[in-house]
Amino acid sequence: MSAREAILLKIFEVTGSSNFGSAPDFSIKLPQPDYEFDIQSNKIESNKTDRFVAMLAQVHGTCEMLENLGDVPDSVTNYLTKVGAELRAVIATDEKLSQLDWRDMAVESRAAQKFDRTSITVAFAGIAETGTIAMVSSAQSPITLNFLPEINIVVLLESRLVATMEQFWPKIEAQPRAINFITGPSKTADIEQTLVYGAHGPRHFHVIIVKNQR
Amino acid sequence: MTDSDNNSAHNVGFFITCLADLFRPQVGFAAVRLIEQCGCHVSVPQQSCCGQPAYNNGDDSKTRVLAKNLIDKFEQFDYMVAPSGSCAAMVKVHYPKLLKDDPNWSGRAQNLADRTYELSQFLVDVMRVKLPLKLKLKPAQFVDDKKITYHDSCSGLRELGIRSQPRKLLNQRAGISMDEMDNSEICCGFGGTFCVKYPEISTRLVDNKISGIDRIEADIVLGGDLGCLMNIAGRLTRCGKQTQVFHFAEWLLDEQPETGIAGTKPKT
Amino acid sequence: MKVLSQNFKSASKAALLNDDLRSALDRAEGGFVNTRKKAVAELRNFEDYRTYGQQVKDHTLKHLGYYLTQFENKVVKSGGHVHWAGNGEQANKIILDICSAANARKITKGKSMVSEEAATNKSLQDQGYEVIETDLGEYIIQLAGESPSHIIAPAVHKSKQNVTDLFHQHHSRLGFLEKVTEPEDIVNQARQVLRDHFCSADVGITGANFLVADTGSAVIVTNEGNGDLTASLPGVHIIIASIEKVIPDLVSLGGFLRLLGRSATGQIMSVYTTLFNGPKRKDDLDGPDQFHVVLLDNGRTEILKSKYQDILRCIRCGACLNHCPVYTNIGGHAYGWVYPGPIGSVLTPLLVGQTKAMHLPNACTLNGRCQTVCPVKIPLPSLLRQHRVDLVQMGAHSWAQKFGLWCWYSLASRPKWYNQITRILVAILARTATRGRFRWLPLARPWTATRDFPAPAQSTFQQLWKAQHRRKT
Ligand code: SF4
Repeated sequence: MSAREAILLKIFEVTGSSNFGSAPDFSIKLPQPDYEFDIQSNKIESNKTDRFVAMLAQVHGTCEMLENLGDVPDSVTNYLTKVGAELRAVIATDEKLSQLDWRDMAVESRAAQKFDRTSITVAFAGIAETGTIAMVSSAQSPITLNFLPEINIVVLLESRLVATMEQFWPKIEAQPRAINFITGPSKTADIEQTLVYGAHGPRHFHVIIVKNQR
Repeated sequence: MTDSDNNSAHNVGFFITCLADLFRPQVGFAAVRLIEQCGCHVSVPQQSCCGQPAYNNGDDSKTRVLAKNLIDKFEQFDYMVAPSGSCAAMVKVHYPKLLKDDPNWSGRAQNLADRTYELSQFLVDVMRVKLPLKLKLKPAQFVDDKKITYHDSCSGLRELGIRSQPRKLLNQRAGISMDEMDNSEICCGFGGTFCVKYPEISTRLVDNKISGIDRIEADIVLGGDLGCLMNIAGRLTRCGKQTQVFHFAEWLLDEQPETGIAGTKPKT
Repeated sequence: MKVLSQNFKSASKAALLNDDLRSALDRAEGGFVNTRKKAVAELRNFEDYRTYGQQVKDHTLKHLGYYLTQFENKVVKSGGHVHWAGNGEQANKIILDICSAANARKITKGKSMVSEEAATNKSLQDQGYEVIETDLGEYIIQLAGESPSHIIAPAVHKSKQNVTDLFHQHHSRLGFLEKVTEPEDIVNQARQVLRDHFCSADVGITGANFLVADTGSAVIVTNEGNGDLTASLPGVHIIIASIEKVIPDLVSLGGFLRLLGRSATGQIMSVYTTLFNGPKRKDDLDGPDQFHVVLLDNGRTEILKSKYQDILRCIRCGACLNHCPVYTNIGGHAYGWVYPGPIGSVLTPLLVGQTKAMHLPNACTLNGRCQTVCPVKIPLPSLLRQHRVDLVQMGAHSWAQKFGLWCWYSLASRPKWYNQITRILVAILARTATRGRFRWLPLARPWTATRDFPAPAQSTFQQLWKAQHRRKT
């Protein structure tokens, strides 16, 4: 008997195998999260952005709001200058980024490599509830960009912001290879409970929220 | 819930609990006085132990015998009241589980469980006592310059949800105001036989408790379970500290209790 | 991992005397407890989520066969492989085979408690593979040659100084000659050293926090990002997870994520939560070519059958450890196996043998604090007591202990005798005490070694009551 059969047999000894194969009735209802901050209400659309920004700040992420996608390169240049980084970045292989005018910076479209300092990606969605960025892997969105560089800049279209995790799931049509939820820069408290950022992943996590896709 | 006006009809079976019976009878008398002042009639049937030591050590068959003895003695009363959270919880929470497969006893166990209360719970939640009105207490002048704190025993706190009740009673008692320690809800390390099976860990836990007492410089520690209180008091005196330890019921009476658990005298 | 739980008594005593450990634990406890409290308060219906977590886990366990095979089908559909292992040995064999087929040499590893159960590192190293733990805490204890002392903060017992020395000892040959003493510098050095390993590893092994049946996703939650680098850079990603990690679908995952971060580290959401669905796709620019999931039983099906089934709901958040007065004073190593604290005291006896680990469920005051914080409402104290029931039935206790309990019982079960005999005892004790207490008493040394024993009053309550009410009754 294979290990698989042995394990399943033991399980069926307890649970019975009669309904095996047909989906059990899973009807336990997930509670709606109840926060002081009202993110459920659709009336106040701006609540979502406020909450997102506030939650991101709580986890040491930074944020900037732009009117147009076209403003992104300038904003990135300013940001990198501010944190004292070189004006060079790997950008996601996404048209939204590659079509932009990067004349002030050296950019390359590819997956990340060991010593890349800065990456720029496009968020699949943002989740306001927790200040989380959702990245979905694809040919246009290599996942190493989220983890290897020291500075990770994410462009989030405001229209891609959802209130909760539950509103996020339906946006996924076919399961991608990987979904990365990112909530702030990498950190550790393994040394005497002192919070240190940039454990293995990015030290700086900067989100640029863009109102219009122009 | 009973309206205070027709309390006189209630017969209360008082379960003194082993430790109060043997070590601190005055706790029993204080408790009985308080219950009587609510207009209840109190009886004390001949009794021994609720079986907690056997239960916590995993000896269910011995515990069942003791449980049945106790149910037999106490089910005749309207209520059973005990001046201990852990003993009351034993009857209220654990007896029904222990006897649930016994057709002759499961109903009786549940029935008694439903009518069993820890003292402060009984006074506050069932009798709805308003201390100054009901008990006509004299103000407790003697505590003016004493810092009093409360230790929440684990069973009472987590199994019965006793937190506010003893504080309510003590706060109603004129002259008593409480200071809270930051670790009032953390185990003192007594744990029944735990304290002698793992004495080193137990001692560390009671030392942590005492650090909490010292941090607020309390003169008096009150609580609702003699096991914990004896543990705390015994360690305090061994460390040469003058902090006194009492059961809270002792502080709800007219007379000021003098000698604390383990023979301590008031600080002079 | 070797079982040392039988040494609990001496190990815990030694731990209590270790001042460095004490300061490390004090620091950790304060942090964990307060941050959890805040994060829990922020979600006002957190209690509803605990109920939800409990119900969903119970439902999944009830249909475990269905959900596991559903998970398996989905993983296979997305191009991954699923392997089943009855015990740690089988799991290690599977992993070794994968590594050897891939011609691997270097293996990076994310934190995985089941791999500690299986002693996977050792089995790999014995075959000549280089294995590098990448979670900073795990990395530190790997350098130290120790085992984790906390399920989510494995190096919580290590001081900054310890790490400084360890790094100096191990990293100088890599060219890091200066001692690093500040947390930032320590972390930075680890980052540099591990970065090389991440990028040169052939296989990455991680655990999983959840397995989502409906989508075939393995979910990994970390704060450092080491799990993702371990999973994404090498050509082969192996996930090792025990079978009770499975949950029905993504919606339920959302519920568990709200519970996990808050309970574990007091975070509303951990930094990185990743769903892995198989190997690199055709057009992907990165990701592993092979994706394996090893589903490990290692005693779970036995537990499923037993009175301890509730423990399989555990999501390994560590909250019960952080709120346990015993754990927070003796640390994790005294428990002598992979899982310390309340969860360990329930689980270890089930996985290594009840008599071997009999101290663990006994070394608990049953104060119940763990149960109030467990995100899936596991009745930990009842399960600990259940072990005690089993131990009594097995006759595992010492003769002296049995005799003591028997003496007490003989008395307690006969209220009349009890009353008579306690009267006499009390009278004697009251007369022999000085100043209302004893510094020493025969047979009471465990108490009187560190505590005075309060003396009883002259008479018992029952005796006095009877005297007062003689006329009435
Ligand atoms: S038993 Fe509960 S509190 Fe303890 S680790 Fe498991 S889920 Fe967390």
